[in-house]
Amino acid sequence: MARNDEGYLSVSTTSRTERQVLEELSPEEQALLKRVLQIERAKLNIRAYDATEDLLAAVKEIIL
Amino acid sequence: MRLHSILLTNFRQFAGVQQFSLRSDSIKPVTLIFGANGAGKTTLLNAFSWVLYGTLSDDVEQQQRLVTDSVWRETAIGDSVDVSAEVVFDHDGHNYRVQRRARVHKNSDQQPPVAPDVQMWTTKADGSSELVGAPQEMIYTILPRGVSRFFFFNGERIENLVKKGAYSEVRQDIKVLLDLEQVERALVHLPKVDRRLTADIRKHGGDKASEIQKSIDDLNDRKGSLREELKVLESDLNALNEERESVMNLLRQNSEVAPIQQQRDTVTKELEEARHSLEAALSERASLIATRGFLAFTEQLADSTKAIADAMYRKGALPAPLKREFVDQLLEAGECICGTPLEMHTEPWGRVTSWRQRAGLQAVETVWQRLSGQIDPMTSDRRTLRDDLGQSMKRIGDHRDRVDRLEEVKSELDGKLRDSRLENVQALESKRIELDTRRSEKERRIGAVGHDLEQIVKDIEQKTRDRKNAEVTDELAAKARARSDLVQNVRRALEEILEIRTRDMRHRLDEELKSVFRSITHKNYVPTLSDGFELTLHTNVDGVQLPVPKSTGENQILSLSFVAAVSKLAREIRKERRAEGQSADDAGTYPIVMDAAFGSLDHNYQEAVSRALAQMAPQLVVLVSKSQGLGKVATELNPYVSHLGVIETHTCLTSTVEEDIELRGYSHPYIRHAATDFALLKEITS
Repeated sequence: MARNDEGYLSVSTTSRTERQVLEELSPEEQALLKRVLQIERAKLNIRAYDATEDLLAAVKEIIL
Repeated sequence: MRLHSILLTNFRQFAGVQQFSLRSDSIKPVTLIFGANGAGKTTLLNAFSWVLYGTLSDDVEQQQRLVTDSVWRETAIGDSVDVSAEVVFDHDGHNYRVQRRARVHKNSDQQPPVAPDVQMWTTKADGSSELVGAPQEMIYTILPRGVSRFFFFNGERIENLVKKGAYSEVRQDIKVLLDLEQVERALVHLPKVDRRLTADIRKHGGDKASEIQKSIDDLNDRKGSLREELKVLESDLNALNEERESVMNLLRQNSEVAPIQQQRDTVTKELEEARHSLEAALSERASLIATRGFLAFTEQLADSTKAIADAMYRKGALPAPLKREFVDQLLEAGECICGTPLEMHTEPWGRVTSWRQRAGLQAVETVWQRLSGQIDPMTSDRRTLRDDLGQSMKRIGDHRDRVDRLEEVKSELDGKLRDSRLENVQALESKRIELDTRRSEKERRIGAVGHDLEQIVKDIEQKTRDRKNAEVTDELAAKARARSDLVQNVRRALEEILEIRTRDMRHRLDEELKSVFRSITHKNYVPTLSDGFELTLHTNVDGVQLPVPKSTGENQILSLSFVAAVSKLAREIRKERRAEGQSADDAGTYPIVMDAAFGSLDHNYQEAVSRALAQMAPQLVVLVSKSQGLGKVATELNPYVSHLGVIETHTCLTSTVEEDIELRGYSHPYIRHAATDFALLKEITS
């Protein structure tokens, strides 16, 4: 397993990496993905939390 | 999570308020605390789990006695006493203080069950504190309860981590640590977001786009149902697999004990036969005695009878010269043999009548003749009786010996079988076949659902492409379509990221596990973490991988290696650049708190484990007794120790010998006499 200079890990040459997945996304998609994970992570401690509203707001911030 | 301190108030042995600093750095990450048996090492370990989760481990007895006994005794009936534990730590760049506390009201000498409250504060950079709204949930997020067993554990029981079935739970618990949980949650929430966005397309998108969107929504509904069904099916399949495994274990156990069982069945049958034979021999002897036993007592009687008869014979009394029956015939005929009439009360009648008195009976003579014929054979009959009885006694003796021997053999076999869980093999086989059938059905259904899901995903993608090309005149609907496309693409990317991370985590854990295990053990064993997160140990014999039957020691080393691997990986992944963006410098750091850390390991392993843990764990709290901790463990850990402590045992038992412990060249109290039993948590600051 190798780590490239940006800190991404490549499990093997035939497997896709997280970085490849991210690179294939448009800047808007990248921004939304990052925001989605931040929102979810921030509320991991609240099991009953429904992120729908916050995620919807994040989408609307990116595509006004 | 890095521990700063622990504060105990009347918590179990720790009377009053006692505090211990645990703050350490990467150069000296170890806190080493000594304590005698029963001093409170396990209590101290449990204080962490009580603060964080409100539970004590199962091996803590008398769990309701949370308040120190002596403190409880001193408390008057009707008064209340506080019991609490508090831990200060930092995590992901935030400082936290967690306190679990109960005020216990005394109504009797028995401590009642308590329902403690947990509170948590976070300290901001400016020093101000803020109460955390959902403290227990926050604790679960920082360190899920299941994962805590990797970081707060009793060394003697750590091998439970590698027991069969444990890893399905670990796999679930470890998701938060390895950054999988937030991805999974996002994948649950994003379809809801999409549904909200596409409502506008349905309403305002025009005929074509609305129709397509309706189809997409239907397909998504169907996809949701199928995913739910798949989850249930997979859970059912797991349950069936576990059940099958337990049936297979019983069958294996049965096949191991089957020869013994067979032998016992044979012996039981033989024993039954031997008992019947013994009973038959006893009743044969009884019958012999009943029918011919008298012969044994006839020797003297026969001899004396024969002597009397012989004497009578010699005197001519036997056989009798005149028979009474002949005289009776003459008297009845009324005429003597000489022709004289015999009229009653005449002289000739009187003479003949007097002969009657002297005549012998025919019956007596017949008996005499028979007796004469019987007395002689009785001697040989007695001899035969003696022989028969002798043979009968021998048979009884032989049968008794056989019964005794078979009883011993059966008892021995029963002993061997006693610990085996014997089941009816036939019933188990039927159960196994039934389980196999049910598994096949589930697997078939899982395959079918999987296939349907794939098709639905393709259909949704096609419909989404169709939607993209459909003419939409309404601005709101066009925007909704663009937003929905954005959400769909992000969802697809997250699905792939989840797959990549899951595969990557298992692979890296496996590699790390192998590396740590190799550094500890001198044996040619290779651990493997399977796709199902199950730990196995193999050895290479001439190129052939053979599974190793793990001993308690090896299970402990395997578990400790896994703990070290999880600890290291949790730190590493947070330092890598990931989709979430940068993490705090200390993210993924977790302390390891170990009681009886070196359990049943021999000295070589103690040394290797100490070295490995000191080097790998970002913070290590080791609780040991003098016998475990002094020597190689102390030598290995000493360069890394930042805090050294002693749990000073105070006992009212005067027969206990007071002891000291020598640490860093100074002697410190280890066991002391006192008016009551309690423990003091002391830091050695020399």
